[in-house]
Amino acid sequence: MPQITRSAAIADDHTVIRRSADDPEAFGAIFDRHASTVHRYLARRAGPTLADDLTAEVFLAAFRARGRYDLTQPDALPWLYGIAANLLRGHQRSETRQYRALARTGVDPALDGPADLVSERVTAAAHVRALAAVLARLSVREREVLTLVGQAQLSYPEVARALDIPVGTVRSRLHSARQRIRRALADFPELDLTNGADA
Amino acid sequence: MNDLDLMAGFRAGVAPPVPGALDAARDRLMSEAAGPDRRRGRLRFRHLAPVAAAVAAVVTVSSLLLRPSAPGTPSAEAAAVLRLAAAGARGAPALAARPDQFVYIHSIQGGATFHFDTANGVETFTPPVERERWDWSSVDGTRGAHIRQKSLEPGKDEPGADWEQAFPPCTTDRVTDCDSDVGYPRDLPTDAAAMRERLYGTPRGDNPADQGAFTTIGDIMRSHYVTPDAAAAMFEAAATIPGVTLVPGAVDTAGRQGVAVSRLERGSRRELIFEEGTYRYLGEREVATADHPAAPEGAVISYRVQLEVAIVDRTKQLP
Repeated sequence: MPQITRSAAIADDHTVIRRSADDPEAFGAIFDRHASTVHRYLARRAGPTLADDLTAEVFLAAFRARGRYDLTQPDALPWLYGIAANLLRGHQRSETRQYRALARTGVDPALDGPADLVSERVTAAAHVRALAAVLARLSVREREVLTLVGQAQLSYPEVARALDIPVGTVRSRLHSARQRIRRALADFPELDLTNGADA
Repeated sequence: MNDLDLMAGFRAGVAPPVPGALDAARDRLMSEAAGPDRRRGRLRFRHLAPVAAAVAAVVTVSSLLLRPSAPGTPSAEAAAVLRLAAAGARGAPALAARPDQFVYIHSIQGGATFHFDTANGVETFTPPVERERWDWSSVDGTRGAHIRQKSLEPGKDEPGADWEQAFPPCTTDRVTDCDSDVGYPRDLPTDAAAMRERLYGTPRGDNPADQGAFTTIGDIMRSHYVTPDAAAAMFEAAATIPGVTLVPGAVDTAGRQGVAVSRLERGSRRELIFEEGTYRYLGEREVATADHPAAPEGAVISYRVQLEVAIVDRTKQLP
């Protein structure tokens, strides 16, 4: 029988999560791998301040639910995105208020840095304001699919896994969200949004 | 440039976490992970012989996989309907399909709209509007998908309810906005025990295992061609899921009469519907229960009736 050589590669997420059932602190590796990615998604939807708190909540919720993790999935990120999206449902007012503020004033509260950087804020282009206005009007279900595909860059099956919905539902919600964006941005022909994937 | 590129750039310049923010989050996690009593036990554990550690790891895996299910069994009436449906499907010939063909599914469906008013925090419910839908999906998942939808109540429906879109195949493993769903899964178990394991093994987020298993049946039937033997295994497996009951009386869905088995979830009950008399699979419904946050009790939240499933050569081709 050939000698089995231990791989020096870092253990996949599912291996870490399996291990964490017995050694809870091993779960720290999941945080170290994915916290800044999850924070970035949260910040792009709800602003960096809320994202700081929610990042901690995402990983606490994930830690408590780790016994239900599907151990056939080596990448925990879609699962974490799903938990993040779920937590954001409790902060819809804050999220949409920031989209509306950007649409109205051209200044994006989610891009605010620390106070001393305020003077460097740039006013958003007109089409970005129009986009923000659409984002404020989307249903939370549409916004989840749109941001997971467009911002988090998940594939359809990953979004389906993250949100616990069938792939067909991902397609429908994404279609509907994209259609709303294209309708709202029809006044900006210079964007040339015709080059999409639609037949 | 398309609208998804626009989304990719939207807030791409968001600030990274302020220094210390992630450290604080990690501390919260790790203090929970350490637990009040665990630290001592874990340290001692690490000094045990490697063999003991390996045994402990094995025990852990099985305890993670074998989650306890909710107490209770399906009702006898529900189990009887599901077994009749299984008997009707079992042994029927499966549709032949080449990998380069497409699964065609023609259906009528409706879904309620929920609008969350951010000004007052109130969620409002608008009942479903009926739509006709055609789905084409690649038999082996390598040729993309196509959806066409047409409103059957254009006066009541929202603008843009009629639409059609091609979903391109995935050419690399990390391309977004592409589709790799397999329309004709060949690996579905055809015996009840293996199917039950499969239904319970599908990831369902945070949902309880029994609910996840039941929901997965509708999900699989909705967007795939399921061979008669796999469908039979699915209905036989459903007859073993705790909490499944028969819905009293006949259920009318888009004008079709059926008998339904259902399972309670939070806020609603999910139903699988079978044709009266033949027990052929008709479709599904979701009906609000008293604890639904926005829809009145008894209101239909969504439904779907499967009219035809066939194999065709190209997207947009009718059988």
